[in-house]
Amino acid sequence: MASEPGPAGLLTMLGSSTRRACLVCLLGLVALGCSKKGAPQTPASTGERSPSVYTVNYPLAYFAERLAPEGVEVVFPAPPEVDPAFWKPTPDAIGQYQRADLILLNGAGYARWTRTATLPKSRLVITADGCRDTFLRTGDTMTHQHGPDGDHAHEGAAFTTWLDMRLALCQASRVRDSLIELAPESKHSIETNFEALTHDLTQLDTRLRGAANAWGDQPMLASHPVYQYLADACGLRIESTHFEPGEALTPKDIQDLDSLLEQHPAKVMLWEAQPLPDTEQTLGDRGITVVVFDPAAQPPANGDFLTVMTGNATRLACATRGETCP
Amino acid sequence: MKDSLYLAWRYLHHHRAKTLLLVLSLTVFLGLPLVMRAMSAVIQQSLMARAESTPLLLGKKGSSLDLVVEALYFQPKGIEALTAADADEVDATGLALAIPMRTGLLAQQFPLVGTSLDYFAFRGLESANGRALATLGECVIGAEVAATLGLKPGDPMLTSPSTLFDLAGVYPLRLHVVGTLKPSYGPDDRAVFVDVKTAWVAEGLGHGHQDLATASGDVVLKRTDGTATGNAKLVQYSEITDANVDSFHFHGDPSSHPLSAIIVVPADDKAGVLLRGRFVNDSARQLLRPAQVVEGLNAQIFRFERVLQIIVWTVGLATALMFVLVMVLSWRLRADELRTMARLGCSRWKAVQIMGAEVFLMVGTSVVLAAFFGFVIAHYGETWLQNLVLRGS
Amino acid sequence: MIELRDVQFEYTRGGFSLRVPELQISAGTRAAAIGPSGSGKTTLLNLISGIERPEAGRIDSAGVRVDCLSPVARRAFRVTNIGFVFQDFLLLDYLDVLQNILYPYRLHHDLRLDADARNRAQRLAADLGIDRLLDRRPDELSQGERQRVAIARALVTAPKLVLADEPTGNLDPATKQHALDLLFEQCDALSMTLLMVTHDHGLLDRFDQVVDVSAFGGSPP
Repeated sequence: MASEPGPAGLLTMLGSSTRRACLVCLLGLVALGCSKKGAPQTPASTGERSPSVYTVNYPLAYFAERLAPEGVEVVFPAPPEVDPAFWKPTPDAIGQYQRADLILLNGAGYARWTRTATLPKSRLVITADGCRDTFLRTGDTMTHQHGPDGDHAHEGAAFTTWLDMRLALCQASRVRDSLIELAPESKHSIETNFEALTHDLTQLDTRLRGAANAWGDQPMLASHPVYQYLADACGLRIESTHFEPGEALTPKDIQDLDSLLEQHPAKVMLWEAQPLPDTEQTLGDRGITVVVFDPAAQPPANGDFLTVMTGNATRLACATRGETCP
Repeated sequence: MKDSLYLAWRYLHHHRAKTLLLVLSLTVFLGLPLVMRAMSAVIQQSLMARAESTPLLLGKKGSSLDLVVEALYFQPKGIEALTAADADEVDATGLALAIPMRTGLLAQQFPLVGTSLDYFAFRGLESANGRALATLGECVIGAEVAATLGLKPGDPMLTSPSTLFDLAGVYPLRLHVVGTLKPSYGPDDRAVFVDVKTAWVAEGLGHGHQDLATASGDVVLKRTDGTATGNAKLVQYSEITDANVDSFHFHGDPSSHPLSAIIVVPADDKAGVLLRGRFVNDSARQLLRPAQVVEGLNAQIFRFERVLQIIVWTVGLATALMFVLVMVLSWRLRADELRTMARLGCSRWKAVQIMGAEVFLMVGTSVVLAAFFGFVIAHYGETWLQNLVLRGS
Repeated sequence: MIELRDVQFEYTRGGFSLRVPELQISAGTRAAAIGPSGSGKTTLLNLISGIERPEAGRIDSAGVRVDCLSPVARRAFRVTNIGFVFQDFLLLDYLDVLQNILYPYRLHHDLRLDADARNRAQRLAADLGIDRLLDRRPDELSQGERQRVAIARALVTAPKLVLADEPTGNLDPATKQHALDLLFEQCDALSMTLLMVTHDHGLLDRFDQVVDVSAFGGSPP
């Protein structure tokens, strides 16, 4: 830029406000630290506090807690009584996510609220991205059409990716990479923790596949369409209903069940939680064994993700081997 | 000296109209170059500050100036759009942060800017009231927008329809103001910021409506297994609320949705060089340094200013000569007064002092007025001047 | 008070000359200068006040030899020793009456515009009956009132000598008499010497001395 003459005092005055704005911008740029992929991250907050990691479900929180070094706070803020996939956080809760140093999303369309929320992309990791070429659908897709744009579908994405232990491990590896970017000085401990987690998840995978292999290609039922990845990983043929564990089956439900059984004569039914005794009786009358398989989207009252999944694997194995499940 | 100033002041005060005319002409003569210089400096410095604070800008191939003007100063220039996939591509390099920008729309005559949360931290924008964007349908407004429209968090704000008389055009979207920003003395003060997804909804790429899967028959034209077709009675929402936010969706692949530009913030200088290298042979896109583009604009402004200065000084010289003529004629008409002064014992030098004091007071007032106008332009006219230059660019 | 001896003066342009072999006017005298137009009455006043300098001769005014003074000294002498009353009053329309009276104080550094000066101006205004007009402008006054302001201006510096060049020329008879009464009264009260140019021979009996300027041999152009 050519130098221009002018009243010195006026230019100084002119310079101050524009120079102030430039300084703020430069300070903002200087504040950019290491990024998740080498790209600069925008600062989440100022002041001395431990780095925070926010997740959209419990499995990711578990992986982060297993891998994170001391001093990293892992937060999963959804209330325990709601399904995190359908939780609608308040603006304040979204604000907490915005201020986090790292936000772990599941991917595959999990946590519907993230589609319409404003989250800082620079601190966002979609853990399941890249772990599969395409994600599964639930099978009950309803497309609709209005105007000239043609069909599009709203529902039908299957998102419980962590029930496939290999996908879970892939997600955990993304968590590991993100934590190393967040706390590079703790890379060694994170890697060590990851090795231990890998071992645990691999063992779980083996147990689940073993239980599934014992069942072969026999049909299986599920109370809700949340076991797609488990079925896909373990080769299980699962058809889903929409039965709630805490609600009694209506005559229509039973009618639908019987219709389903005609084409899909299952002898085992996976439930997210223990159904009512009457429901269990109704299923028992039809020769169906109830197997509680908790998807572990929320933290358990006792134990952790590993103990829950281990219990799931044990119960599945018992059922598929025709043994009495504990 | 005090007496000379007193007599001069009394004379000028008595002949107010003449004094005012002379002072105004002198103010214009003295002030015009000052104001022009101030305007030029303000424009160049503020344009440059904005451009220099933006390391790189990615856009569709075309006019680099239009791209910079629209992306940095939010003046709609009708530039061709990139897609969200381009932003993902930049992010995937690991070399830079990609901040999406969707511009070209208006909300109650102010630019509607769709972007991400990263933009606010990047520009150092601070909240004055309320909070940051959290969800679809919300907006955060600049200080000037808030002051002009009297808006605060909790108030609604409408986007402007993209076509006024086109029945098939996009209707206004009712936004919710959730925050106002502190003044940043730049284009951000005049902007209405939304999430880029909200901008897409505002331009009709996304919408929400009644659930056709469960809707009653009078809005369903045809229903088959797996497909429902809506008719014209289907209600499409013009406002995003907690109750209907889940119904909002986008047509097509989100990665194909348009972006006007992408602000690219490299991790370091080397990353910036690498990135520029990647796009140098790109036939469809350009990655440019806004500072370089604005330097070119400033050079044009400077050249134009030089020509104007010559014209102004020429006119000013004529004004000065007219002023001298008026003063000489005035003193001739006051010959009796001068003779009286001499007879009463006033020296020639004193007489010159008294006459000179009149000139001094008028010129001094003009200088002060000219400096004042220059200050006002410099201090308060930055945004107005920027718009004046950018609208015509 | 005023003495001229062998004074010769000639305007370089126009060809007018004046010769005053001898003229004496005592201090405190009321003197009238008469003569036809162009006879040199105003020139005589200019020589006595130091506005003009003679080619030859001696001029003593108010105890000061004026003909030998430099222009600067003559101005200083004039501003502190002589009061002028002009035929056309020559008041300034952009000053009010009080400031017009105090005008001489603003023209020379030898005069200080202090409280004494202001008090003197107020007293003169009261004596001349114009004290209620001090905030008016000249164009708001009658001819007589303007003449009295001019008289006050001439007297405010307490000069030793008052030179009046046809001060009543533009006044009606009644106002003329009143103005003269005031002028004479003030000059007598302050023991000032008065030399007044007049065309009105009817007033001559009010003067102590009459100077016929035409006798000095002034030759008009």
